[in-house]
Amino acid sequence: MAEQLRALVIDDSRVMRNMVMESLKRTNLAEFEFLEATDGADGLTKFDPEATDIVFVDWNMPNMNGIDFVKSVRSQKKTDHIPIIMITSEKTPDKLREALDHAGASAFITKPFTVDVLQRKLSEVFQSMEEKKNKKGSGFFSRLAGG
Amino acid sequence: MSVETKPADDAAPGGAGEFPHGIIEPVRDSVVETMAMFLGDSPEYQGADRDRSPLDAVVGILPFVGDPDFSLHLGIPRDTAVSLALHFAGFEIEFDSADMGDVVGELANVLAGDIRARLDEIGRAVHLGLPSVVRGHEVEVIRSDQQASATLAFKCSDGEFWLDLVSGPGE
Repeated sequence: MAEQLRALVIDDSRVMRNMVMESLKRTNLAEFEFLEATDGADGLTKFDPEATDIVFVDWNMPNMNGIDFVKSVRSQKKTDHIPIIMITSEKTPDKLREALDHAGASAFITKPFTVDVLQRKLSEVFQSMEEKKNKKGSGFFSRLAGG
Repeated sequence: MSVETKPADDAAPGGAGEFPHGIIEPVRDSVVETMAMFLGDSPEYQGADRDRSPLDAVVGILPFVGDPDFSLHLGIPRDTAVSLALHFAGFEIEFDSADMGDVVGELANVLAGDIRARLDEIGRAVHLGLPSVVRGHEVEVIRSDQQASATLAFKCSDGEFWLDLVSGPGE
């Protein structure tokens, strides 16, 4: 585990942010460097396409919810390569499709989640990102995915 | 998953008339299955029997808007709350800390997401509001006579807790 990922973790709950960060460390997929935000609007001020490697965002938040955050990020240029994982209590298929297809999230993880689920989902995301990046010749996400 | 000890239609009706038909059972199943995911064992449904005397407790409240309008009140006594929070968050959280409000709000939110999906499956569309949390010492929850409500009590390895379902103004 040598790769370092700069992860932006957005949730209005401090407990949930801690849970996400602790769980990510326990996946052993990378060394994570965390930046925290308390809602979508705060997340936008802290999101930097040049410095953010991956984003974990809650759905239901005051001020700006997770869907609007994802839409706003994806409307910016050169953010397609940055995985955005929605961590949500939403389980309704239509709502999850909204997150993935309409807003542009890379994946979702439903709460409550385990480290194993997080690890498996992230590996899938890294693999998917690598397949996209292969066209450009980078092996960064492949190494994270164990490829 | 075989868990409940009493049928869900035992849930105590309170206030004005009966709580909307078809809601109580999905809620009961959601509590049992969702909480088993982080508790490791399934809470037992205890029907509507719970001690209503004042106690130290934290209550997560989450509104549902749609078919039907109602609110979910997740009530957790002090000792149960501390133990549940440890299981849910993975680290100790004191009853009187700000984090306790966070974790109970999140618990209510997780339950509500699952309940919404179950209601969606039976053709009842609801939207969720944001959770709010009330914590107090010697708390007594008084049910309104103006709104239909139902209580579902549960027992798990962390202790007892309950859900009150209260019909919204549209019912």
